[in-house]
Amino acid sequence: MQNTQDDWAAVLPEGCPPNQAVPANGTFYRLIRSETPTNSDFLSQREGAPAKKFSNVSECIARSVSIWSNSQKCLDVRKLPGMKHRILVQIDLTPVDGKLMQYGDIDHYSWWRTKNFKVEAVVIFS
Amino acid sequence: MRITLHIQHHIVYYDVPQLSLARDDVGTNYLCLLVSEIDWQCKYVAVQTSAQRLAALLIDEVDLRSFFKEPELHTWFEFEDMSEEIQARVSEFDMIPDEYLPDSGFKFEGWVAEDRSMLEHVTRLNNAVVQLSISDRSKDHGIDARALGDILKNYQSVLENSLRKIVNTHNKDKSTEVLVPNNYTIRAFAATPGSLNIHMYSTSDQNIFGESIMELGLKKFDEIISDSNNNETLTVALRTVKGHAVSSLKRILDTVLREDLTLIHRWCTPKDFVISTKVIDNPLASNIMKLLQETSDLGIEQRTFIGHFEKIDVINKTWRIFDINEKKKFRGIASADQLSGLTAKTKNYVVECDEVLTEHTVSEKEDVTYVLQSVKEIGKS
Repeated sequence: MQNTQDDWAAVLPEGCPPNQAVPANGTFYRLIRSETPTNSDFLSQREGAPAKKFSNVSECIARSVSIWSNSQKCLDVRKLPGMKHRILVQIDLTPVDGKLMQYGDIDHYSWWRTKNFKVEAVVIFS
Repeated sequence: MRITLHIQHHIVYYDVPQLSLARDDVGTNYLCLLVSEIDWQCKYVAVQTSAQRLAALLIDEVDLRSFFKEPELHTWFEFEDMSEEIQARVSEFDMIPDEYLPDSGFKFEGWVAEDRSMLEHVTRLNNAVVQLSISDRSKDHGIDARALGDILKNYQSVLENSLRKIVNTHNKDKSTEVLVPNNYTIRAFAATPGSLNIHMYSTSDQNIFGESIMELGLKKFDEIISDSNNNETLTVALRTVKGHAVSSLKRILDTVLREDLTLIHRWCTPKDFVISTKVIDNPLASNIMKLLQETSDLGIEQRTFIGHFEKIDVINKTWRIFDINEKKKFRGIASADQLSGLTAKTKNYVVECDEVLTEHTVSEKEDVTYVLQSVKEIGKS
């Protein structure tokens, strides 16, 4: 399926998602702040902090959301001081939810969400 | 006190960089940890680290918590903006607050799976380690064996000839000592799937120029495959290894384009344990190839001899010269016009040649042919 700019949850730069990105499909995990998942738990860095830039992070990656294909990795990350007390959630994605690209760690994916993604479908992982 | 840090790469990324490796202006390594993030306002703590301790951390011999709790220099730095040039200040605390520390037991295994194996090899072999990952469209973790042979042979040739150029340009008086096979050859020691990953290591000396000889070649390889938008910069880089190294690079690019390959070039040395990664894909190969076609002289190796001709054969269009610098004889070819009027044995000349490598189809041995381009008698204006 070819996405148009209108499909994405946020404005993406030209050439984003990259060609290597594939349609989202499968079960993924994420750490969130809220006890009940809300849309604010799924904001990209650029949506959350429009003026903030990090060295060595491309504009396209800054507009993606981090998720993992492996729940253990999320639990590992929760040991880091900036991520303590976060809640692990499970997200079942289908191609209409956006595109994914493996980035950095082998189990870490950058996810470009479409407007179709429904936060109500996210479940707390126990 | 403030220091300027430059991010090298992010080890753990989660919406924002969580754990990153940085260097200061004199090349010292720092590990930067996100210690708090409220409404996207981030605060990082950085500690200076030796390459050995960093490697020990990444292979889980040192715990991340103790790495930050007990840094080698008992000094912590803080910064909020992870910009291109980070201005980090010395922390005021005598001991890092507990809430800034990670829980015990953070394991890097998995996070740096590929890096970990490379770091282990660097530690074990105490020399530069290279990983060349090669993939084609088949996605079966394999490639055509002939293409693999071409890539490896020409990759070795780029390294060897780049080193020859660098040493002959900057340290010619040391060339005999430095340009020995163990310094310019690499040995393959393993292959793993993923793409097809060929693992290699260098046996080069490590005490010349403060870094290993092979590191110079590996850096040069990265430089001449840079994804530069500025072709002028790339041409300058290519010109520094003009000749055989560029010809070999051209053959690699030819194979990449012909077989539709993607190459990932990764290497690391015990000097700093930082892994460098460069990718050659089809668009990059096309761009460099186009540049090489527009600048065809880049593939020509030039050679200058100074000495007297021992033999000048105008009929067979051949010559032999004794080079007074290398104290060796060299043979070559020329046109009859170029050779006529030259005097053998009694006069010294400066002879400019193109050095052409010819490979025998069956034995694959290379022959060098010197093609005379210009000749000037010494002392004659």
